[in-house]
This record gives sequence, structure tokens and C-alpha cells, in this order.
Amino acid sequence: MLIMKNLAKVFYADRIKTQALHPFDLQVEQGEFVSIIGSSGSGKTTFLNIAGLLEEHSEGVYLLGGQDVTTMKDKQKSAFRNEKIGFVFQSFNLIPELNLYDNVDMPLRYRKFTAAERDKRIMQALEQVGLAGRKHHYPNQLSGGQQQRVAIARAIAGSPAMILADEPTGNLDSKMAQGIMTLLKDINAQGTSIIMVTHDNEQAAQANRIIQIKDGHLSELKTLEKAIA
Amino acid sequence: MKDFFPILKSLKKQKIAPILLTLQVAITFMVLVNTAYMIGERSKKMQRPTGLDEANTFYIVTNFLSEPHQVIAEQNDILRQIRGVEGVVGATALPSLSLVGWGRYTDFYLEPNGNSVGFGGYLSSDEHALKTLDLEMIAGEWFVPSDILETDKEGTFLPSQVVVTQALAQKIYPDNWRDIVGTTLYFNGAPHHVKGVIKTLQNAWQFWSAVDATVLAGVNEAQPASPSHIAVRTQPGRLEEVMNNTVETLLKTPGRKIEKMSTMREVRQKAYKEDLATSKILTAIGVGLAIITALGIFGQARYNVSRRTQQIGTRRALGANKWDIVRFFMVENAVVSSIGVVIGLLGAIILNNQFVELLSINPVPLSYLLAGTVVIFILGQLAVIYPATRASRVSPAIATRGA
Ligand SMILES: Nc1ncnc2c1ncn2[C@@H]1O[C@H](COP(=O)(O)OP(=O)(O)OP(=O)(O)O)[C@@H](O)[C@H]1O
Ligand SMILES: [Mg+2]
Repeated sequence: MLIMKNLAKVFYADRIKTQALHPFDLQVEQGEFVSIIGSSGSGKTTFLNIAGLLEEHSEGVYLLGGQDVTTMKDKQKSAFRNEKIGFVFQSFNLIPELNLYDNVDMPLRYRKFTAAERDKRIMQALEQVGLAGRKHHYPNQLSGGQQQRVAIARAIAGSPAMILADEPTGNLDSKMAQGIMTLLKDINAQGTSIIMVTHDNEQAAQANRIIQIKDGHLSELKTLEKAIA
Repeated sequence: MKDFFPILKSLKKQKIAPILLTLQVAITFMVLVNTAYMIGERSKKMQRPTGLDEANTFYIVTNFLSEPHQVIAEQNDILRQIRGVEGVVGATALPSLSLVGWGRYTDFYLEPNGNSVGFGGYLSSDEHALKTLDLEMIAGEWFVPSDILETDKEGTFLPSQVVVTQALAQKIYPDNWRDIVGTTLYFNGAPHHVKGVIKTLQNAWQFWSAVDATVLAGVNEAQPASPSHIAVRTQPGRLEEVMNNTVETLLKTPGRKIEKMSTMREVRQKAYKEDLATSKILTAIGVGLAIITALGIFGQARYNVSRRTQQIGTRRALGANKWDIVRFFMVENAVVSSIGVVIGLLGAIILNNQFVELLSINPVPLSYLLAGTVVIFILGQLAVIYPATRASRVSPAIATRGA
């Protein structure tokens, strides 16, 4: 469902050229759980942003769901993100002025769902993350782990084909982190592809595939030992 | 309006800033509507016709040179000279004229010792006034030369033939103003026979409630103690030329002085000078407040955009396209404007009721309230366009990278 060929990314800022990603090939099939590891500044977020249509690549070809993304206009990309991709961020990115219910509702409102359909999806998603009972609460009334669960509910409510998570457990302690991992694995088990950036090798090891980025060079690891080595 | 309810909820959560902005919108709305109404009423007042062909009319004041008992003859001679000037449509002597600010007024009676049935301004002239003042007869008849009295005293005390304006006729005969034709009006102790009704002829004071209630008496008056006041109407477009030639013609008589000369345009400008100045101040207040409010909306929106960069990026990442973001801020502004206008409407109505009772002014009509609503909406939307477009340019990558 995701095919990248010779894909590369260069940033130009203040006349300084940064080769954030060197040309690489990658293919991810529907239903896979891929983890991305690498040290800080290696290009993990850049990769994820390109995969999620948040940023444009500089060179190469990127086919998403069979479509060449360079031909897509902002409107199409937005719609694609909205319908096919679920995002989970390190710092949750919930909207503080909206309660949990409305937070999960937010992306759904950009789609042509009926109110009843939205309500069904919101409640299902909140139930799956175990927070249906607190739908009227506001984000600042929840723990970090709970907030990330709401963010995951928001990501899955639109039934995306793929979830992109950038260090989803980066701000959580290990117990809460394992809860989030379990949740993501459950979602993956239901057929949703997941690409997750993480610093944690144990977490990375729970995925089907591990991709390491080193100074903008992507390489697929057969086992975790290599990553640690 | 898919953003409507979430926006309403989020405004409710933010409290202070939206409340202040809403109040500012409400106050602006109230002031805007009221100043617009006051300006509108003033400009309506300033546009009332005098009845004269103002663009082509002027008046001229000259001295008398002859013995007191000959001033009438001298004035008739002056008038003959002026009527002989090329391009003159008519010339007539009057002791007062529309909007000039000096003249006579009187109470009117239907019986010699009865109660007053109204009051109004007094003008007097001869049969030439019909053409000169561009009068329109709408009932009865105009003077014939034999109707005109000549006097070197104040003419108001003479029993005379008169015509009255429709406004005066309606005051005295509210049911059928035409009934006034043929009746006798008593004023200044003398009976006056009403020959006819003219459509419009304002008297000397624009600020007076009876400015349109005028009696025009068929009296050719010239008093030795005061100079001769003469109104002159010219053919269209020849005002300046005729004024110059009139002066030249009159000054051929040794000792003749032109004490004053003024076009009706100048008379009108002078008469409404204060109203015009007030309107300008009111306009400045209205426009100033509108600008301040627009800036307030603009500033608030800009602040919101920078404060919510992360949120905007998140919305973009989760599927909002650029137009969705623009619309979010537009709708948010529309919600604030709507609440502001509703509060402003209530305030305007309450304030207005107080004013109506206290100052006995007319209530602001619905059209002004509607126009005010439209203006506030457009103002708000215009003020928010720039911050909203800036918001739409926030990169969705902000969601992962942080602002
Ligand atoms: N907008 C940008 N302009 C210029 N350079 C950028 C921009 N965004 C990222 N970079 C650079 O690209 C490289 C990769 O950054 P990226 O954020 O992908 O790293 P990362 O692996 O996610 O790091 P971390 O683990 O710290 O989040 C870095 O050198 C970074 O400075
Ligand atoms: Mg990163």
C-alpha cells in the first residue's frame, strides 16, 4: 500500500542544505507493523511526515494506495490524510478547549458522515481505548497515558488504512507505554498498518519489521541484535 | 456550518477574550447604528427643498439713494434694470428669503379674536415672485398685478392678498388643505385673503419646526431705513455671468452701492454649516470606532492564530484543508459578531426607548438596524481574512515538529 522508490529529502534553511534522507527504496504492505529506530536527528520524523503527506519529498517516487502523491493537490492530500491515515503524536496534540468526545469528533467533521454515524464511531473508538465513560472530560483532566489513548481513539475513529505514530510513548512512563503498545498491537491485529517511530528497542522488537535510520540512511534490520550492535 | 458547535463550545471555554470582543462588537454596533441614523436624519433635513431654483438664483442688497417717500419708485426702477439684464428669468424684492436666517414670523388666526391655529414665516413680494422663486401653484390662483400693494412701511400690518404653502395649509386645515383657498387669515391684526396654495417655499430658518409653513403676501415693500433685498433667478448655467452684469448695470447709477450679494448655494451652505460639521464629527466617531473594532478583531484573530499554531497544524494533519482553516476563523468571527449584534440590538432598543422618551426623538428604524448588522458582519469578516489566510498557511508538519 506504500511504495517508495529512490525517495530522498533535502532541507534548505538559511542557505544550509541538510540531506535529511538519502535515496532509499521501501515497500510496506497492508497490515504490517513497522517500527522505525534511530538516534536523534537521524531523520525519523522526516520519514514519517513524508509518509503521512505532512511534508513533501525532494526526489524519487512515492505511491500511496496506488496513487502518485506528487500529483495530489492540498485538498486531496488533506482528504487522504483524513480518511486513510491516523496520526498519533508524541505530545498527544489534543485540543484543550474541546472535551474528549469533541476531540475524537474533530477529524470526523471534515468528512461527510451523518451525526449518527459520527456518534457511533466516536463511542466505539472511545470504548476501544477504555475512556467512553469520560467523554465529557477535558484533556487537562486526564493523565498522559489517558490523553494518548484519546489521541489513538481520534486516530482510529475514521477507520484509517494506516496509523503513523511518532514516539507515541515518548512522554509516558514504561507501564503506561506498554498499555499504549498493547493497544496499537490490537489495532494492528484488526488489519490496520502501523508505522511507529520509537527510541525504545524493546518496543521496536514487538513490530513485524524494524527499519533503522542512521544519518538519513535507511536500512532494514533482520533482528534487533544488529540495531543494538 | 460544520464547525459551528465546536467553535461555540471552545469560545465558551475561553471566556474572557471572546466576551470582551463580543462587547466591543455590541458597543460598536450600537454607536454605529445611532450615529448613522443621526447622520441620515441630518442629511434628510439638509436635502429638504427650499422650493427655489437654487442653482440659478442669487440675492443682492443695494442702498436707496432717493427721499423716503420715493423709495418704492426707486426699488421698482432697480428691479426694471435687473430684469433688463440678459439672462435674467425674474427678479423680485423681498424682506426675507429662504434659509437666510433673518425675516419675520407670525401666528395665524381664523377669527380676529380667536385662538392661534398655527405659526409660520412671513415673506412678501409681487407677482414676479412666481417665476423668480420658481413657485408651483397647486390650488387657487396666483396674484394679478392689481392684487399687489405698495408700501414704504412694514407690510405685515396691511390687509393683503396672500398665498400659503401646502405645509401651512395642512396645519390649519388638516383634513382638506385645499379648503384654505378663499378663506380669511388673521395675523398682525389684519385680515388677509388666501388666494392660493403653493407647493414649497421655505422661510428664513432651517432649524425651525415651521420652516416649511410660509405665507407669501402680495406686498411690494421698500422701507427707507433698510436697504433693498432683491432675489434674482437666471437662465440655467448663467448665474455667474448674470451676477457680474447685474452689478455692472446697477453701478452705472452714481452713488449706488452693492451692500451684499450671495448665491442661494452659499446661503444653503451657511445655513447648514453646523449640521454639516456635526455630521462630519459623527461620521468620524462612527468610522473611528469601526476601525478600532476591526483592529480589535484583527488583533484577536492574529493572536489566536499564533497561540493556536500547534492546534492548526494538528487540524491540518488530521484532514483540514486550507479552506477549512480559513472557514474556521471566519465562522468563529461570525459567531462573535452574531452574539455582539444581538447584545447590541437589545442595547440599542433599550437605549433608544430611553432617548425616545427623554428627548422625544424618533426611534431608529429597522432598516438602520439591518444595515448595521450587515456592516458589522462584513467588517468582522474583512478583519479576519488576513489572519485566517495566515493560519491556513501553517504547515501540517507543525503537528509532529512542534511550533
Ligand atoms: N524544517 C526543517 N528545515 C531544515 N532542517 C530540518 C527541518 N526539519 C528537520 N530538519 C533536519 O533534518 C534532520 C532530521 O530531522 P528529524 O526531525 O527527522 O529527526 P528525528 O530523527 O525525528 O530526531 P528526533 O529523534 O530528535 O525527533 C535534522 O538534521 C534536522 O535538523
Ligand atoms: Mg523526531
